[in-house]
Amino acid sequence: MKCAGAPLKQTFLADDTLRRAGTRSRSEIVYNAHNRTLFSVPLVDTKLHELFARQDFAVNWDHVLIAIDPGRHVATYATPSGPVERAWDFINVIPPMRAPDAVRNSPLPWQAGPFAADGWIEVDKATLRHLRYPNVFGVGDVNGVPKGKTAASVKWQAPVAVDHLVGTITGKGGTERYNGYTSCPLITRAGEAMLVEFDYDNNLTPSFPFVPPLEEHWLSWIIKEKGLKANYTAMLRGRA
Amino acid sequence: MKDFTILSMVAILQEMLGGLFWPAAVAAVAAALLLVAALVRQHGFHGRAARIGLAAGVVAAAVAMLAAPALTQSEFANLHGLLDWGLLAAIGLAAFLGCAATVFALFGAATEPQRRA
Repeated sequence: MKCAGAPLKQTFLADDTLRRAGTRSRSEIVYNAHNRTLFSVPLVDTKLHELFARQDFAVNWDHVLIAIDPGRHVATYATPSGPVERAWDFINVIPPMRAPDAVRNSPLPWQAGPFAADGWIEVDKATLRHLRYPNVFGVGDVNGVPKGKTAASVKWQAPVAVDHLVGTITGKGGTERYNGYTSCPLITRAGEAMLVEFDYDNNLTPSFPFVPPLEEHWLSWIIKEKGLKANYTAMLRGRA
Repeated sequence: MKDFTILSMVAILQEMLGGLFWPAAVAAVAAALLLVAALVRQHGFHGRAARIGLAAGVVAAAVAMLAAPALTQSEFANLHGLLDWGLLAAIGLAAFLGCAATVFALFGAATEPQRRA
C-alpha cells in the first residue's frame, strides 16, 4: 500500500457526497480492510474507529480483494475463512503497490522479509543507503522502509540521501538520519481534514504545533487543498 | 513540513498563484511605494483618503470573510473552534489592511491633503 490514507479519504468523501445528495440514509458504506487495523499508527487508528462509528461505516476485517466481476457487481475477497463474495453498487479499489519493473527486476530489492515480494529497494531505514551496494541510495516510494510512502516523506528523505552521498564522495561520511516522517492529511469531508504526521515509532510529529493532528479543521483542509500540491511542486523544482 | 524558509515560502506561493505571481508581486511593490508617497503627501494616515480607505477596508474584510469558505470548496459549517474562526478573522484582517492601504495610497497620492480647520 502506498498511502494508507487514500482509501480512507475515498470512504469519507463518498459518505460526504451521499449526505449532500440526501441519499446517505438509503446507502450502506462498507470498508473492506486488508488487515485488522484502519491505520498503522495506533493513535490515528483509535481516532478513525471513532469517526467510522460516527459516520456509520461498516468494516470487514482481513479482506483482501482477489477478483472483481463488473457484470455481476460482485467482488471476491480472500479472508481467513476462505473466499467471500460481496455485492456492490459503487466500489473504490486500491490496487496493490509494488516497485517498478526496472527496480523489481534488478539486484536492488530486498531478498527476504516483508519488503521482498513487492521489490522495494533494500536500504537502511535511517541513512537510506543500500545495504549491499553502499554507493546506492534510495529516495521515495521505491524504498523498502516501514513508513514514508508519501510526497512529504521525500522532502525529508532527499536531504538525508544527499548528505550521505556527498559524505561518501568526500570521504567524510554522513550524519543525517531519516526518522520515518510521513504526512497523511486525512480528509474527513469536503471542507475538513486532519493533518496527521508521524514517524517510524508511531509518534505524532505535527509540523504546525498549533494544529491538533487528530482534530478535524477547516485550516487543515485549506493546507491540504491549497498548500500541499504547491509545496510538493516547489520541492520537485528544488525550491522548497 | 521541514525547513520552511522565506525563499521556500515564496516558491510555494509562486506555485499557488502560477502566472499571477509576478503581476501580483509588481502590484504589491507599486502599492507599497504609492502608500509611502500618500503618507508623505497627506502627512500621515488621516483625512478624507484615510476615511475612504478604512471604509473600503471594512467592505473588503466582510467580502473576504464571507467568500473564503466558498473559495476553498467548503462552508461555514466546516469551521470549528478558535483555530478555524481565528483563521477566518486573519483573512478578514489581511483583506482590511490590504484594501485600506491600497485605497488610501491611491486617493492619498492623487489628491491634495485636506486643510485642517
